[in-house]
Amino acid sequence: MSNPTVYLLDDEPGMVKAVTRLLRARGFEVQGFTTPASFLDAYRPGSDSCLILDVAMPELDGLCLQRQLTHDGILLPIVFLTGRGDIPMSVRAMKAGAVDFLTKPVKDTDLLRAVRAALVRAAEQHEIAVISGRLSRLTPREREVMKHVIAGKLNKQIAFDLGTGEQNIKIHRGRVMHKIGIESVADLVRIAEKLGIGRNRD
Amino acid sequence: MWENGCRTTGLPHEKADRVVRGPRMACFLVALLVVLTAVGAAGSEPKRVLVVHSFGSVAPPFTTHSVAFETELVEKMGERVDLDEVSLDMARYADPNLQEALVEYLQKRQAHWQPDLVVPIGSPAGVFVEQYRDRLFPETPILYTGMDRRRLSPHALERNAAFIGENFDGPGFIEDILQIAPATKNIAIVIGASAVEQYWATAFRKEFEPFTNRINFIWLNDLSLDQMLEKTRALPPDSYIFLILLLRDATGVTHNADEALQRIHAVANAPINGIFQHQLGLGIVGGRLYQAELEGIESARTAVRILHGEPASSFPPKIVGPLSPRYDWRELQRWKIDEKLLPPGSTVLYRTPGLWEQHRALIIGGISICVVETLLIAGLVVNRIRRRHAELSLSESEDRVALAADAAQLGVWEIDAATNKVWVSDKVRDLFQITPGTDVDYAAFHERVHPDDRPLRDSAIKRAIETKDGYEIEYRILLPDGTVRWISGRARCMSDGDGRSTRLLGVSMDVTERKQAENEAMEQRNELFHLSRVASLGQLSSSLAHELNQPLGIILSNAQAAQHMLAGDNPDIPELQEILADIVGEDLRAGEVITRLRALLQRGETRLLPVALNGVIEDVLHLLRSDLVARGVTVRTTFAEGLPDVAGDKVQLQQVVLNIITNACDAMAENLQKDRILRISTNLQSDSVRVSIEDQGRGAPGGDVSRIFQPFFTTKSHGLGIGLSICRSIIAAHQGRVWAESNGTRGTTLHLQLQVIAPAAS
Repeated sequence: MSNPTVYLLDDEPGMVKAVTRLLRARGFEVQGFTTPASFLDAYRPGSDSCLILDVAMPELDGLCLQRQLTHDGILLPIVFLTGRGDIPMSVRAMKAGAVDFLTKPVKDTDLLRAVRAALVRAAEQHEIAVISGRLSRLTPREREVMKHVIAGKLNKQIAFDLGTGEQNIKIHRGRVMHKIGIESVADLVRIAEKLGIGRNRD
Repeated sequence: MWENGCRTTGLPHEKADRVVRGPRMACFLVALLVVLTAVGAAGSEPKRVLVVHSFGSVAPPFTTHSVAFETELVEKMGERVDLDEVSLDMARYADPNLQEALVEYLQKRQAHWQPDLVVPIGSPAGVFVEQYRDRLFPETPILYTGMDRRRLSPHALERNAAFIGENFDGPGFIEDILQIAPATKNIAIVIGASAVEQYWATAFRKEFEPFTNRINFIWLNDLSLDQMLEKTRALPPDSYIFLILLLRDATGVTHNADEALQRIHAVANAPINGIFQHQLGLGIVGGRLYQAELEGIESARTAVRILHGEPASSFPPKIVGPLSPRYDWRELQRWKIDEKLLPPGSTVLYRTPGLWEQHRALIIGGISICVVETLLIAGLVVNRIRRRHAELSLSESEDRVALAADAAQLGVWEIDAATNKVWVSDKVRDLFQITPGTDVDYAAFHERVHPDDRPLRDSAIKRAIETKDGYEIEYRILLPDGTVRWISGRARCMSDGDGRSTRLLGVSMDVTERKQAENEAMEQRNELFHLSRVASLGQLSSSLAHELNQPLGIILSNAQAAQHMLAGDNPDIPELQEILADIVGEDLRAGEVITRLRALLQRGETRLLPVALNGVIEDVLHLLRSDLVARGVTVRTTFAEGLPDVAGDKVQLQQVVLNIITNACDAMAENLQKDRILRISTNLQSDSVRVSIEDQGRGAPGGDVSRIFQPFFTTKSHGLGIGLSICRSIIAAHQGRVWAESNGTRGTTLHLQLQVIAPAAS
């Protein structure tokens, strides 16, 4: 995993420069853009990154860009930073999945907190994405076994429920852990929670 | 020529005679030629008309009649008539043997040419036709014309015949003479000796009998024309000549009656009367005259109808009476006949212009000169009287002027430029609070003027005296008690003709109240402008917040970045310097926003100074920048370069531009973002600068863009509708013009036009 990148998009070059300085001084990798097009060109999915986004821009409104990214399946946590925020606008942004909605002038602590939160979310989203990919490799029987494991059942109970031998369950369970790439049942449960697996299913 | 073309005429030698002797006959011949050529060309079956003339050569009044008849007939029938003629020439050949020969001749002719209508003209022809009708034209309709009914037998019209003629009133002729010449004692009767003349001599002699007791009739029928001329040359006093007919005199010489009349007229010592209309102008005085010509025309019309198939006997006998009396003015003059004697309804012809008529212009001119001279003299006399009167009433008039000046609250004054002496009316003393009774000089006057306005008034007075002109100024005076009042002063320079002494005559009026009202109105207007600006800034508040937050945000982030860098071990100094430079730049930018805002919010009087309109628009676009971005409006500007400044109040003009732009953006709010384009252009229009702001909005309802400037007109749910109406009053205060134009399918363009200031002032 490469260093987390903070993308910054604001039509005001002075603002891009200032925020870039602020974040770099704090050790972040920052890429600044003044137009949505240049940002979309440079953006590469696959690493932990977030976007600090201005709302009012001549070419493309920040909220519109947010919708477009979601639509394109790009799960990039967004921190809005605007000179003219109002409550309806912030509600819309948050409902659409924004991490935070900040107004200029912004204090460095507020901005850093929001950026960090965004990067955490990015990391989690990355992890979920990875695990989701792995989950897709499970066989139906392994998936069945995993659900029972997450539900906290013992091998014996699972074998009984599924009408098979305990030894079989052990082998399946081992394969699930291996395929997903985790070592403890606790990790499995945590991930399953995030993915929404096993809840209200049984 | 005539001989060759004479296909249908009777006796060639007679015709040649006519050509030579009568212009009317020539007329007829032309008409006949037309007929001949037309007949030849058409080749149709023309109606055949045989005209039987009583007399051969030109023999008025018969020829008058026959020419009219033939001309009319040809005209009405055109090519469809074939006209033949035969003449009895009764004046020369009134012999029964000759008549018999003529009958035989006609019978032979008719073997070749059978007429459809026979028209005897004149009583000899009529009598001849009636007499030989059974032998010549037993079945042919007859139209008797140009004769007195009495000349035919009572049975003449019973069989297929019509009659159009006259009924001579013998006594009427004598009455006509007595009407205009009541003193007449002798009437000389001129008449020839042919058969028809003998008939008429007998007839008239009988009809004149009632007058014989008072009139001596002198019958000249047994004389030659020469003898008649001798006779008429020396008639006794109170004589009159009456010409009945003269076809052949007693010596057997034929005459043209009209020529005979003229010859008699040339020598006679008495006035002449005749019977026929055509004689008027040839020497007769006039009266009731018979219309041989009209008779001819009437006959032709009847002839046409008969030729078209109407039976001749269906026409009742028609008598053509005399004309209403008419006279020859020259004869009346010659014989000193008073026009008062003429019967009512008379017509007087041949008036010749008299001295007045001939020399009217000269006479009028002469009289006019006399009148003008008289008027001039009268005018001079009146003028002199008036001047004396004016001199007397001058003092009275001065009193009136003083009264009027008092009533109008006008102070009147006079300065003698040479002596600097000043005369003032009481009202001036009152206005300037100069003690009554004290002497006033220019300095005393001057002292009252407000120190700030003294140079203005001084230079106005000096210039007026130098240029011998006047002035009109408004200035303030400062009264001893410290009150300030406004005076409107007007003056005119009066100088003697030789320019030696020059006086300045003036009036002064207190206009303080008016000035105050004007100032109040101005203040109220400025207040309104200000309030509307504040209101429009309210709309902008979020945009303004952004405009300020942007630089503040940049400053804060930069500053905090620097703080952090300085907290580190090895701060990057060049980076820090850059950060500080950015901070300063952003701070200045924030300051500018504040300055613009304060300018817009300030309240103050309208001051017209040189303003660059491009700059005004740019300023407004700066203020609106983030608002435009937020509204997704793209602005495209086309500014003309090197525009001259206009005279304007920068803040108010910004307000106008701001208002128009925000309106334009509102109008486009419902458009797709790509259609929210605002075009702003400036250009020079001769002596003014025009700003055009074009949106792509929904436009005024119904395209009626003129209404948008009316107060309280709005299409917005939240607008008051006073923005544009205030814009208009601001522009009006600038002597400029603002108007809207619908862009057809979409949008509105607002134009703003302001006068450039004179180059000297810029």
